[in-house]
Amino acid sequence: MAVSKYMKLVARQGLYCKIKLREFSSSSCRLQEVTTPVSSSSEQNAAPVETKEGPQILSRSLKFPVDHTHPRLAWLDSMSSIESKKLGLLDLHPDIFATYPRVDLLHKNVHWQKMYRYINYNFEPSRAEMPGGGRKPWPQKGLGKARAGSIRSPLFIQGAKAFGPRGPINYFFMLPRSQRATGLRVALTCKYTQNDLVIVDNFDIPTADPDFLSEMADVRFWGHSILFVDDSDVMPEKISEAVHQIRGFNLMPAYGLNVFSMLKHETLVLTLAALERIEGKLLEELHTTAVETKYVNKLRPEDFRTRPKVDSTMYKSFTKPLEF
Amino acid sequence: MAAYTVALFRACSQCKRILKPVSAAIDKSHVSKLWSVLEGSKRLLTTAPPQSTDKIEDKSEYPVDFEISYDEFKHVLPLLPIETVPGVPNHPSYPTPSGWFPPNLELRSKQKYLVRRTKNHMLPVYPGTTHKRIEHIKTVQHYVHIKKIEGDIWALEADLRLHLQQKTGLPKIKTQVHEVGRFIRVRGMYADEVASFLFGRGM
Repeated sequence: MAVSKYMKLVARQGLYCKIKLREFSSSSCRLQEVTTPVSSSSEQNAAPVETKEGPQILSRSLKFPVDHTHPRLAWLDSMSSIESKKLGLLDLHPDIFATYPRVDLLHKNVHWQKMYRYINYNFEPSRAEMPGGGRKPWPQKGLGKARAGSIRSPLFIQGAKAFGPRGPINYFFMLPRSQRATGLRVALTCKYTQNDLVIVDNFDIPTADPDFLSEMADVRFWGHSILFVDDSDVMPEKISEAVHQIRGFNLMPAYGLNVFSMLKHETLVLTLAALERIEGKLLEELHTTAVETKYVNKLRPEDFRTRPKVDSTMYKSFTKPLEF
Repeated sequence: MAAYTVALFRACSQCKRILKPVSAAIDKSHVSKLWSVLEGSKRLLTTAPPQSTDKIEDKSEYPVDFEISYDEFKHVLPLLPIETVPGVPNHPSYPTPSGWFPPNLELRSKQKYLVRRTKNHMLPVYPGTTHKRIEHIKTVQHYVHIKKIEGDIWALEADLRLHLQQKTGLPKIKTQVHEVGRFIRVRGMYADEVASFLFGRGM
């Protein structure tokens, strides 16, 4: 275990150095200018370029570019073999992958994700709902005892609880939209800076054998829990079958990406399509023209009842027998 | 699907009372929905979705002769609202007639800190008020909120405080620095002063 941890550290250091070298080489000019000529006719955003070694991606045009920092870099990996096979380098938007680590927003997001689905079922009956207690236990005066009106008073042993928890209570609320988006950006930033972000071209693995995937995770130092995120929710068969059999490995579509899952899993594996989708959506959210409105929950308990609430007072005042 | 409906009808025909409502309820859409659920997700994915029931009964008031053209949708696109804030258009000279000018990148890169422009290309400097009681008297406290700060936030605060002290001649300017939230609050109605200070630093 200790050895593997050390190896992981070494591997991370190596990757870090490589990235650093690439950054130092030139911040403005692309790698493509230095190494291989790339056909300029590729209109696609991140078009793989066919070379002798195989398809390679050497640049990626970013929407909403910024002028105060350089784009961050990540390897484009492949899952076709157990050993990692670098297909190219990707530019990542610094607004998404190099934001300030707002730990408070991270906590807010996790808290929101826990609380909005939490229902407190604790219930304590009130003094009116407990049996007995209608009679005055002893006379008001003349006994030298404290005056008491009911044996179910909260002062009594086995009496009711004053202001106890009442019934199922939901804690649903919505975190502001901007804070949810910022939480995602911060979580992605944390994953990237801790070198826990892996970007692959697709999830095509040669076999559906879970041993293959777990060995791949071992060899590449991905850790014990991995979150695989793809663009669509219809995943390739082999990886779905393999992931289903390994505890700690999870598949998720890009629209299901959330802060809690990202923090829970050690490594985040994105496909290129998922990266495009997530980055595009978060950038759109950053530059949106829409004015943020406060979420108001207009749902009342009545809306969840299967049948309308019966007004019992109406029946009580109804003295005449019903005629049919 | 046909066999399924026949079975349902047979089951219902034993009880004449419920035959009527059930036969009315068996609609094409209902049965197809049930069928798709029984078949499972694979069937759902492979086959076409069940035909939607057309709620429009009287079609006489709707136009009949029309042609669907996808090419001419480009004339509709400019009428749709813009989803993201567009970039700054190329102006011949700065400042523009409205007084706006872009950040000075050279000057800005020399500073230890950075105040980024908002998505609407403006400075993130916002004046505001809070209410405070001083000896049972309600007073209004004015402040200036500076957001989107990157880099050395304490250096910015020191520079800003010194600048405001020199400008106003006051011995003390009260500021509040939030290191995690990346913002600075300055007490007083100094929004214009703060903005001019930041413009002077190329922000």
